[in-house]
Amino acid sequence: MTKPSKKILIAEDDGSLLSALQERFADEGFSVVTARDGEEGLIAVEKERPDLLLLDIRMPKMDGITMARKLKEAGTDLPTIFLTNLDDIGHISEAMGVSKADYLIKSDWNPDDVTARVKAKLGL
Amino acid sequence: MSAVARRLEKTAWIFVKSVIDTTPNPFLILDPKLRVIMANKYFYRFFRVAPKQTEKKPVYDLGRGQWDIPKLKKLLEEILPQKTYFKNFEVEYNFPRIGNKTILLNARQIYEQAGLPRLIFTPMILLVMEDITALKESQKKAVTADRIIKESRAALEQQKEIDKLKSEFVSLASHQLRTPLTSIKWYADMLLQKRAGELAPKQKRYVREIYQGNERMINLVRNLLNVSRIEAGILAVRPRPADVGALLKEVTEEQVPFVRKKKHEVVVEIPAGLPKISTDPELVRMIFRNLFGNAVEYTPSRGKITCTAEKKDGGIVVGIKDTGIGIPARQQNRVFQKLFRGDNATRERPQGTGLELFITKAMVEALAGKIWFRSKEGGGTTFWVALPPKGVKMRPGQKIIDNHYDQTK
Repeated sequence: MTKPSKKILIAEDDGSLLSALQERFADEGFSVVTARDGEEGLIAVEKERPDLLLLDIRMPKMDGITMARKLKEAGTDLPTIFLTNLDDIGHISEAMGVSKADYLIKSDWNPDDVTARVKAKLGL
Repeated sequence: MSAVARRLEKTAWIFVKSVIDTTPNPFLILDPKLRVIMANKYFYRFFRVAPKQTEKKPVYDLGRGQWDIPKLKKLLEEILPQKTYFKNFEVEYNFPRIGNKTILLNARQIYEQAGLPRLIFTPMILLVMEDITALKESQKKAVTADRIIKESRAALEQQKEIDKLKSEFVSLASHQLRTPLTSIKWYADMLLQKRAGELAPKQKRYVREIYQGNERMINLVRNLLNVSRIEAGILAVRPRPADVGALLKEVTEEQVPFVRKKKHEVVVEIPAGLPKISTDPELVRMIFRNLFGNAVEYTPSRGKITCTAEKKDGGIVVGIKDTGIGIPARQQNRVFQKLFRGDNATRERPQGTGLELFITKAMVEALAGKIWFRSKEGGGTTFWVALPPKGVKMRPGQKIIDNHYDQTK
């Protein structure tokens, strides 16, 4: 059984949700790096070089959109999935405009759906 | 004086008098003691007084003493001795017979022309009046209009600010409410997926109850947020040309998995050549999703749902008919109320929120349309939505949250 050895970065400020995602992806065979806000996220991307970003939008210190935008400005263009519970379309369009990203409303999907999306985005 | 001279004098005098009486400003000629020597015809016409009440009287005694103003007195008394004049002296007064007027007074000594025979022996004052009541009125109106414009602008700015705050509140509320609900959803799901080991049958059942109760909560929060948007008037409406028939078809196709689960027969009758109308396709989609979804959910297995669309009065009327549980007659007047659920509905679909039809009706109305239904308890329901060809007003704001139909595990 081939296990995907891809690395993903999960940026999420809610501890409970971060744990759930971390465990689920670890179970699935991914290498997982976590960040509690956009600033930590930028440092982690620089240090760990993940293959995909799973970003919450609303986070303290720096939000997910700003983080993705800064990465793009620095020339880093990683596949990104925004996970959020915000539904303000203005924010979402902004998020989509930053990079060709997917966007999922957390409370609509289960962890299995999220892993399936990540796998699809990585071509696995 | 010769007869010729006398006739010339008379002619001259008649001419002068005619000019005086044609002048469309009321004026008085006063002697040095400020008594009225004469008034012109316009004066009598304007103030509706007679020569008897005016001639020979001191100007201050005229009428109800409206000219008896100390400042005016001083100005008039200065004219002859100081060889001066005044102009633009305003008097606002409620005159007898003619009502409230604002009069502008100008007064100066009447010039003597050099070389002309001396017709008069005493210096006289010409007191000319101008009725500026209308001018004053329009000035007042201009000031008021200006003030109203400033106030409206301020109110508009404030309203924009309030709408922005409402938008942000609804956004934040959605986020804060949904975060813990997501946590419950994900951990319950992971338990059911055996990611923490095998579950005994009872454990599985209990966790399933937790999951489903939570899904109802998520659904309720989504609908409450939509209701908030509607009530706060921040629902976005973006009209553009839309193919309503195609939207109806799309919605029925989206829900095929649910239709299959309930083994319903679905008939879609959309004639060719339905006109495109100017409306908001996202709201239309939501309306159809709600009505079609209700038809699917509230019809027991192996039912039949018929969707039709037809041209009417330039617009389109869509019908969604089911063979479901229907709405009890005595409750039909409350169908569009917030949180209303039919007595027979909670049994058939326990996770309904009673908000979908309220939201649907609000969306139909935002599209300048109409919604109505016919139903019989146990005998099915038909909902109709009529949408006009145009006339939908564009409104900036937030979008309605997509109705993601939950898949009960």
